[in-house]
Amino acid sequence: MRNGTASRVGTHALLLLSGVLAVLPFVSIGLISLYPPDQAPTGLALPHTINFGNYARAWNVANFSTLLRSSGIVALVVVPLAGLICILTGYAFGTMRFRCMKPLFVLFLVGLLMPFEATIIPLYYDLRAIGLSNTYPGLILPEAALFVSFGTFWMRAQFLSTSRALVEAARLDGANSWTTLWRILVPGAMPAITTMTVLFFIWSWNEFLLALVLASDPSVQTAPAGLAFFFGEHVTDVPGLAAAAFIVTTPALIVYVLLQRSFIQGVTSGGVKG
Amino acid sequence: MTTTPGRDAPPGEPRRIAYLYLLPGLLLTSLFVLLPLIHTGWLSLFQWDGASVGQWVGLANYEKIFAAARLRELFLHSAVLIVFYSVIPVGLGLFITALMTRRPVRGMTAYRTVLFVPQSVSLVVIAVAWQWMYAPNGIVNAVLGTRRAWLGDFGWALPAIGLIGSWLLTGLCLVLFVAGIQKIDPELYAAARIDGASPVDEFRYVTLPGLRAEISVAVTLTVVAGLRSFDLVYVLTKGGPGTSTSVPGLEIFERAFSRGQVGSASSLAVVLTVLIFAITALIGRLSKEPA
Amino acid sequence: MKEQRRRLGAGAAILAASLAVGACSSLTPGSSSAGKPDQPATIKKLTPDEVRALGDVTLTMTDFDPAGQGLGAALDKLVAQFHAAYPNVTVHRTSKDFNSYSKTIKLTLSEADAPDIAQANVVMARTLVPAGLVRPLDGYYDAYAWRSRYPSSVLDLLRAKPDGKTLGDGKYWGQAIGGNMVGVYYNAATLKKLGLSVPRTYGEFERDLQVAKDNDVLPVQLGNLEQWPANHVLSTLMNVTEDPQVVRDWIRGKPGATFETPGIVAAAQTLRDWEQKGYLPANANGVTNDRSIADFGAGQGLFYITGSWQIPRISAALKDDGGFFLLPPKTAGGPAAATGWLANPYTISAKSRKADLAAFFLDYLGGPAGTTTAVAGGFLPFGDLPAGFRQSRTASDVTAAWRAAIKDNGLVPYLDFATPSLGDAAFPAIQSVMAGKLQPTAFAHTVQENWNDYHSGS
Repeated sequence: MRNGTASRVGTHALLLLSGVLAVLPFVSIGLISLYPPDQAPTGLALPHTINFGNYARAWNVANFSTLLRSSGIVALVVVPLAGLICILTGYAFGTMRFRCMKPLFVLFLVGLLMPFEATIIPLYYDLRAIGLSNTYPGLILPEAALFVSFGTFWMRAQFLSTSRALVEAARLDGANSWTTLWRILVPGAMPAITTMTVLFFIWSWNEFLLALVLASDPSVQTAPAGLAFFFGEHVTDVPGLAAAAFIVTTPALIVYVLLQRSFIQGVTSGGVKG
Repeated sequence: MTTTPGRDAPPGEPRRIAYLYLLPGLLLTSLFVLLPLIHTGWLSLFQWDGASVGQWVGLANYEKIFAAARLRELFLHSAVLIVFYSVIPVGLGLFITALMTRRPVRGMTAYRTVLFVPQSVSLVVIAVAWQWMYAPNGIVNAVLGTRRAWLGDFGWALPAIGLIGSWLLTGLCLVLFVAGIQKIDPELYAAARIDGASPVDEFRYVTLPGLRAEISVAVTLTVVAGLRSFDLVYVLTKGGPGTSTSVPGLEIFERAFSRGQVGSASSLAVVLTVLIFAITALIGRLSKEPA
Repeated sequence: MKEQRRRLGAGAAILAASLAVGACSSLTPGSSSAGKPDQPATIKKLTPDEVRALGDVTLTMTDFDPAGQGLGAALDKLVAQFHAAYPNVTVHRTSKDFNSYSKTIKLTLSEADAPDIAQANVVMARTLVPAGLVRPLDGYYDAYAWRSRYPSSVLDLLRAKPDGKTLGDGKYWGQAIGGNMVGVYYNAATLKKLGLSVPRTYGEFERDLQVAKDNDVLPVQLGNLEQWPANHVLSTLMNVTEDPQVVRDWIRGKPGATFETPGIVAAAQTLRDWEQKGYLPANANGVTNDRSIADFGAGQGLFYITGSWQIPRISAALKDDGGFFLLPPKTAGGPAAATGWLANPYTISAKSRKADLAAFFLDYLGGPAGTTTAVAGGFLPFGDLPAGFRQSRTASDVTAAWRAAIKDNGLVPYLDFATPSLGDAAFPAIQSVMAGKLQPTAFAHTVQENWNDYHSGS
């Protein structure tokens, strides 16, 4: 028993340490955002005078009300769109057998594997040719396409490991493939689906380079673009940047924490066991 | 899970309807991933600045890339980053997962929430935060009692960036593993315990096989992240000091966006894509072998 | 058999797809986006009355001086001032940060609804000119007598040959509000404490460095994590060790120019020597520029070699102790030389249908009516300051040095203007020189190779 206590304390110590490490950089950002603009922050020290002015300044300089709205619109469309598509593709790849399965799967993987920094410029010209550059769909569709790559990979892995007997039993009961997916497989895969949703939201919210090039017009630009305003050609506005970092990060964190809770509920409400 | 020959075969019978399920995804992927990639391959045969009319140069961009001695350095740095981006996070993620499966840890939800926080933050923010952490008067030095400029040190800059990757991706691995572990039948653990299995045995014979799919996803994702990495390097060091942190992703980005060399950036991207595919295929093959 | 047919089908689909790419954007990249290099020569110099008679018009403008900060704030005021003078003209600004801007400006200007006016530095112009995205301004240079505004050292880089590679010849592409310049900031209180005065020769300057070092004062403050800051130190040294005209010719791409000169190598060697003698902070390569400016403002360091964009911070921190001089020549009384150029000109887009009005607006921005606002906002002026104009001690030191450099035709543009990738090639290499990992001759060679690649590439 003593051994058990020791290992329990060790576990907690390790987790606590990792937890502190995980949030420490953001604590330092939070502190720096409170410094007056002309005072140089040091380590974890508190500023002499607490100053919320940076937030107001950051909000106005980067015009965050527009940026956050655009980010919200993009994420709210991308997440369900990509999520739905991935459930379908993952289902096909994970539970069915058909011709050209392997080559098709590889095609889906391309988005996950290619370094898309270089494909953005051709993508931009392609989008412009069909009139989608600098529009919401022009950002939403490529983002969704990139996410579908990961999601297909992820959902396929989930459905592959689902019990084969379950699917076949459903078929014997006369369920068609559509019903089998939504009645039998999806409830069991809820933890994986929620995880995917969280990841998609976060990736979409924070996506910078795609948004920079494909949606360079300020009316459709997304939140991370606001951070760039504080890196000048020669001068960096450090407290402004810290405040902006907090503004950009907060919505993603809130969504994450909220979804995290429902994710855990989904797990405890059953339907997980295969 | 047993390793029967047909283990990797999908459970279903031949079904044409699969194509219908794939259609929306395939459409999206073709239009917004494959077409631009083909377009990139096409551009790699030109000398083009991204605005004026390009000039056909055939394979000259590729010849230049393979002739450049710098290329080896770039991929060497990638290899170092893979250790930090993949080996450490996967290992650490598995370790923490193992601790959790041994017995329910009170406050686990809170820990898990907190450990995933880095994943939910924009890489630009992360880079900025760590720039302050690594500054000579920053927190890292305060803890270690040193005054080293980690990011300006020819030997330390790359590992310093790598550690940010470890810190970042451990949370991702953990989330993937935790999602996976909930599918493992608790009776397997109960049975193992009745058999008197040690924590190590339990990890090896229950957790590890049960997490196979997730581990393979995690390894692929993190290795690819290591190979593609450029955001952190771009914000933190721009490849410096000297070229000690330059990586292929940064080189592609700089060529395409700063130096007006879209053609040669495209050729480097094609090379990197092929390399990533080869490595991923290798991981896929390795993960199929019996544990 | 069936399998094969399917594969064939897939192959055909890919082929069709690639053909579709071609059909959308024509097979040769850029052929659908590049503008027409030559615009009709009919330009008109509008009079103020003609402008007021235009009715309600909007000029669109894009730039990389975000509103509310530094030069962007000054630009805001200039735009408002113009609107007050010409209420029927509204100037609609869209600003981005420098990095985002430089990565997207080509795309922005190639769009059908490109803005009328776009800011561009020399590196951007090297791409925008050959792509035909900006209008040649020669007609307006004649009409508004813009040539007389600038000394020849500045004017040279405003002209580009059609390929964008050789400057100082060809058509004018931009017009600016004011300039900026690099020099030596000093902490007057520390200088006095050390018993020193502002050096008149380079020898005296080096002696001051040693005196500071001997008294445990950091001689030159620097934060070079971003890589460009040390370039300004090196460039400043080059102005002493090399003839400014040699460097200028090299930057503008004069055939046969070279970076591998004894003077330039000597400057790189000096930078390395400073590092070894402890004149620079030991970990300069790992400290942000911002941090080091803060440290200098807090009294750490006797000198800081950087640009006029730091006037606001240094004068705010050091008050009347914030002084500025140009790195002195080897012999007292020699001609003044400094790294500096325009604080980024504005171009008129090739697609603009309001070019005459845009030119009228640009003339206003850089003309006498805008001087006071521009200078107060951080631009260095080419025209005279109004009588009684008050500046901080730091700012008036900089203005005086700026005038001296212009008088002696001693402005040398920024090194990274030389090729689109020069900064990427040279700046990391300067870090390596500082750390002793790259010999100064090898450094000069690396940089020259980049130049050769750019100019030999067709």
